[in-house]
Amino acid sequence: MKRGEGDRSLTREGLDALLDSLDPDRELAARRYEEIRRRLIRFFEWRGCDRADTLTDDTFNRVAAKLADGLELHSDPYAYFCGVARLVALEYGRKTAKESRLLEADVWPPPTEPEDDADHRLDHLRHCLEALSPDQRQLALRYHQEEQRIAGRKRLCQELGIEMNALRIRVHRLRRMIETCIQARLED
Amino acid sequence: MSDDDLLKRYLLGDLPGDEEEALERRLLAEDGLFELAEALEAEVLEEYARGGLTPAQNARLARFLRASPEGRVRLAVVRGLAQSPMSARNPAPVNVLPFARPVRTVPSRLQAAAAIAAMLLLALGAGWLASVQIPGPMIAKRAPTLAPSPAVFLATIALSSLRGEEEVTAVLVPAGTDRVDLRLPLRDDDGGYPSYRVVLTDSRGAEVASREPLQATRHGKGQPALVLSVDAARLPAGRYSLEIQGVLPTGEREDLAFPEFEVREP
Repeated sequence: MKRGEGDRSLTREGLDALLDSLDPDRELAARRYEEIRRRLIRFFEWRGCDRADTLTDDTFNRVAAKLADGLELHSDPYAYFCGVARLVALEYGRKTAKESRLLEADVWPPPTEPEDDADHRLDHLRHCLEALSPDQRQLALRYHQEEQRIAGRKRLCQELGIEMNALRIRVHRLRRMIETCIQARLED
Repeated sequence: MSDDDLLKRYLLGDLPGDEEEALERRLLAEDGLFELAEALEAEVLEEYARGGLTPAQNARLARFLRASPEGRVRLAVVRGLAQSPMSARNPAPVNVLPFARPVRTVPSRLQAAAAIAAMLLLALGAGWLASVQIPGPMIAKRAPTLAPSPAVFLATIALSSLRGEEEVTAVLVPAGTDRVDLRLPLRDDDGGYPSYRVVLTDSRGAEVASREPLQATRHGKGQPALVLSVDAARLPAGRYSLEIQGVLPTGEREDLAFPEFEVREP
């Protein structure tokens, strides 16, 4: 049965087809699903979409519907997800064009960053930093606490004998470990 | 233009449509580029936290942060790492930065006992012993062993005394002492500040000595403590007050304790 534009909820058969397309092993498929989902959320966020998780779910639902309707993917399904995500982003962009024009005209009020549970997160941060090895903790703190950021990070590169982008990625992976730890603690 | 410049412009929404589209295709296809974009996003968040973006860039970031709990965690991590009291030079686990905390009341006997134990360990190594007893008047005694050179007298003042309370530490400074080191063991919740301010005043309110910024020191696994060194000649017999404040990275100070002590003739 073809679904209309307004009916994009995920059905059981759609979910099964989606997971099957990612990997025959359900556990591995679930992991792949989570990784693709994380990437798509970032993609929508970087595009300036303010409902990144909703748009990601919409992307999955559209792909699942196609798969349930008999679509067969012969290459990496991730590429297909990306294509649909771009389409979803374009549609979203058109819908919010007016809003974007206002934004570009700089008539938005000054941003007020949501700070819910900020202190709580800092408390979790301390615990999660302690979970890193001393070297990892030292690197993450030095990277972010050098008073002269650019010069300090160049010094770090020299000390470690790596390029700046390699340093950025190394620290990014540490931050991801910290973020995952904080998320887990927030969910407890 | 290098990939990192391109990505930063993309993340800030400053890339023209055709370049944006081309980059997005690469981003979704190249794992390494995607990871670099994630790494560079942290730098954009740093700039956001420092207020270094344009209003339009701020608005764009604020929109997604409002809608993204994960984004807010990422921002909190970047900001928290930059401001963490667990400094890069001394990454020993310490308490997290408190934003607003009332001054505590008198600490438990257990905390004071811990202060005594830490002080004893330190004093044995230094050759002088300042003993602290709670509650009530506290007497500092000379250690029975080695005489140090120069003659430094170590007196430990527990942070149990809040202004207006009757509990006063008595300090007996031995004759011939050149310098008095006032050791102030920090309580568990007071150890998380990047630096401290300590002011010593006499009974008339005149400043005798002060230090800012003053870093907490820790001996081995002992309790972190502040040490204020004072020329012994500036401590004649009399009553003294200490004002101890934690200094936040923003420069704001938070009151921690106002212990008093009395220097007596030995």
